[in-house]
Amino acid sequence: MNKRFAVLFTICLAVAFIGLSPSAASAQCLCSGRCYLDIYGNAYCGFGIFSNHECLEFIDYCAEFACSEPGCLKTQEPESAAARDLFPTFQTQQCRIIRSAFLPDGGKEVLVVHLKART
Amino acid sequence: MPRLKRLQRAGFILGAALLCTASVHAGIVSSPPTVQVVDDRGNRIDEVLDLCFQVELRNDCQRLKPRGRVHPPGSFFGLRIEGENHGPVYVRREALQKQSDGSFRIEVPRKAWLRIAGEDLQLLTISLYLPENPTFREPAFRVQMKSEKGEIKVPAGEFIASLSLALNAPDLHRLRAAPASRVELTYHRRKGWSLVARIRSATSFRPVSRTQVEIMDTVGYGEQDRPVATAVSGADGLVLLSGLLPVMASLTARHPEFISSELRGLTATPGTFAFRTMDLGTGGRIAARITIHGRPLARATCYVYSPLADARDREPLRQLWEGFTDSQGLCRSARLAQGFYKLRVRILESTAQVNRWVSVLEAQDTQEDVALAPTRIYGVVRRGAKAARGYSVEAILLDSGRPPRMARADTSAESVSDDEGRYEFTVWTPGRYGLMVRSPSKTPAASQRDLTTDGDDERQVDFDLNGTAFEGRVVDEDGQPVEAAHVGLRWEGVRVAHTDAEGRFEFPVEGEGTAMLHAMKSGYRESESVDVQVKREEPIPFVTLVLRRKATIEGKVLSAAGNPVPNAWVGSIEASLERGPFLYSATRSTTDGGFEVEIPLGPPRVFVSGPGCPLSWFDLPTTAQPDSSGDSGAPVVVRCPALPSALELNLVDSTGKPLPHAGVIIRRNGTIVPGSVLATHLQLLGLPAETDGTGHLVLAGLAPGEYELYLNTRSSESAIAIGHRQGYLSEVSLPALQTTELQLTLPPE
Repeated sequence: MNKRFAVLFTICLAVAFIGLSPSAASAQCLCSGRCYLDIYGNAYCGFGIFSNHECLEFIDYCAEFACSEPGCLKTQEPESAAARDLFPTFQTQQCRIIRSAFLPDGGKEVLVVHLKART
Repeated sequence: MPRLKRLQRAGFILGAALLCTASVHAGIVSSPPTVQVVDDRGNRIDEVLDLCFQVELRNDCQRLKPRGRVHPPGSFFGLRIEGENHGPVYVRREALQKQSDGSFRIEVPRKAWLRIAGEDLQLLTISLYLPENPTFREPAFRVQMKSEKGEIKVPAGEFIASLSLALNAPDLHRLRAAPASRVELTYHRRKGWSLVARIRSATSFRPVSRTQVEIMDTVGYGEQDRPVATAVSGADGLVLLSGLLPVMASLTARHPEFISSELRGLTATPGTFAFRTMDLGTGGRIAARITIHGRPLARATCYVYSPLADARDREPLRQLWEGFTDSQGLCRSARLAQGFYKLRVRILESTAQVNRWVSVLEAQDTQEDVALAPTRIYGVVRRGAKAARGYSVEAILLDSGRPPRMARADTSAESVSDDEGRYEFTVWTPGRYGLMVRSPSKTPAASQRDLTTDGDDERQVDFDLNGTAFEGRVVDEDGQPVEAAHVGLRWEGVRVAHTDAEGRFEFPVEGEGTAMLHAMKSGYRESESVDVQVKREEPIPFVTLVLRRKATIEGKVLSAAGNPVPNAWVGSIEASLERGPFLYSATRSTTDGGFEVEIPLGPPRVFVSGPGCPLSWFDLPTTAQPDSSGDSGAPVVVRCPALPSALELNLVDSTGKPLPHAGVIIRRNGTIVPGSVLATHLQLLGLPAETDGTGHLVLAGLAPGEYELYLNTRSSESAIAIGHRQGYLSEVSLPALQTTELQLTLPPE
């Protein structure tokens, strides 16, 4: 067998064993230390860079309190009408932070290939 | 007997004929195509050639002697032919054309002679890449010099030649060699790494020649980028740069027909070369048409702003263009790179403004109709049933288009109440507005209104603030007032006020309910929160919030050689079950490498990132913990690793499409690097924390070690900390001074 194909095949076999184990993590409210203030000065946790310099000082505040605010809605559809109604003043996709992907991955595999350096 | 013989002969002939027919039907005897090989002049080749057919996952190789014949296997994908003096050529099966006699005719040009001038040529490896190679990962031809002064035979054609010797930078050249010609290259021995960049048009993906390219050394940490090399792209759009010394570099491309563009995070292991593609856009324009009651509005001022990457800036927008509407009410911006922009229109002498977020697409004019229809909003601000003077009322349009992630809302119009508490302003576009009122000290009142208008209207909106307000004082543990503390009031959301020199604060309020107050200030722990009941006719109790100083630790950042590292970023870490490890506080080192950073309770851990100091963490000795007075002990020393490592990730989905806007959480030698720490580190290097449009992400300036990678949209620091494996991508070992490249193909969602 051609050596290159043999190496590739071995890599493929090896990565086939690298799997994502399923688990049942609970969906938690995680602000990741990011914060968003709307026009009223309402603070929400959000995904992204701070929208307002005042927010900088309030990272911990957001983490502490804002997770119970609607901004931390646990939704996979952050751009839904419901979400828009809840926070009309800023981009609702901020709430992707809620990591809907906390759902278990069910053992799906990631194919990893170490790329050879160019010489 | 003769009769018997004739019968035997007839039987033999019949049998042979039957066998022949059966054989043909059974496919035992057939006439398969042969391969006919000629050189670049169409002449027969009089030397032995190696033919390798690619059949499924194996190569089926045969030797073709002069005047010999080769029958290809029944199914093959491609064919490679090389002889001592010919080829090599690689042909895909679909590119082969059958001749009238059923054979495949393949041209295998004569080789050229390549002479390399220079010193230390023994063990030099010569790799030839086709200029159109999409990845520059596999050369079309590779050979090693056997002696000091020998010539080598190379395939004829146009190539990018990489002359590489041990740990020296590949010396890159263009090579054009006609069949049987003699060509020469000179090898230059240089340190560092090299770069091949392909400059293309973003719309046609065709190569862009004559692009001025400048390579900058990008140290990061606020230091100025330094130019190190320049080049011009060739007709194939390629730029070749050999012997780059910076650990990390950027490339800026300028061409009169395109918008200038920059690529950051260029790096490669010394002795290798990097390859990147840059697509230059021609950009698009915003064409805004301003009308009032359907008629064009001339002399209105249009502005275009770009949101800054670092929105922590006090002015998060950068003005890119300014112009006036013409007699048709039209303003057309200058060319803008594809992206999100804010269009602002100021109406004549009015202070009111209209703001829109506009998406500009490549090579398009984005039409934006701004139809003005004024609504006058007026009313009275009262406090305790008395006219309130000096209160500002602001209107903010709630649906001003989809803002980018870091946008903040704009005030469309604003007015300050007079002696009778009256205010008045005009909003110029129909829509839904939020109205908020602030006290003369700019504290937002716990009161808000929503208003929807179709334009050409008048609306009265009064504010009846309670006679009493949330009032209080913020003091430290010794009872001394704390100035400029942030006070949060939770009341239909969160309001923010600041304390004055006496530590006092006040929130005007409208209506009844329950509120929660809380104070914070940098350098202090958060106060306990206090619940307060509000009843309209009853006074609100005075609230005192106590802030206690945070503990700090002093230290010094030294390089591996023992030199102070100024301007290094030092971040302390706290961990909780809900959030996992997270950034607690951060500071920058002074010119002597000294720092003082706030630390939480427990054994202190800090992450350090600085010029010449790869991102690494240190568990500080517990003896350095502050004593009861809050003073820390003797300064501790953190000594950075000597050399950095880098990781380049290429993320694609299960269909092979690049995965943009994806980030990773990394764990080094078992310690989670919080996402905010990694993002800050990358930002200090001028690198994004997410994959770009090509799914590419560079994690540079990391300490060498064993790393685990997790996808941040499918995992979190807390999940990793408690052992969940969701979002796990891979393990990777990052050696010092090396750039490791991984391609990760993610499973479907």
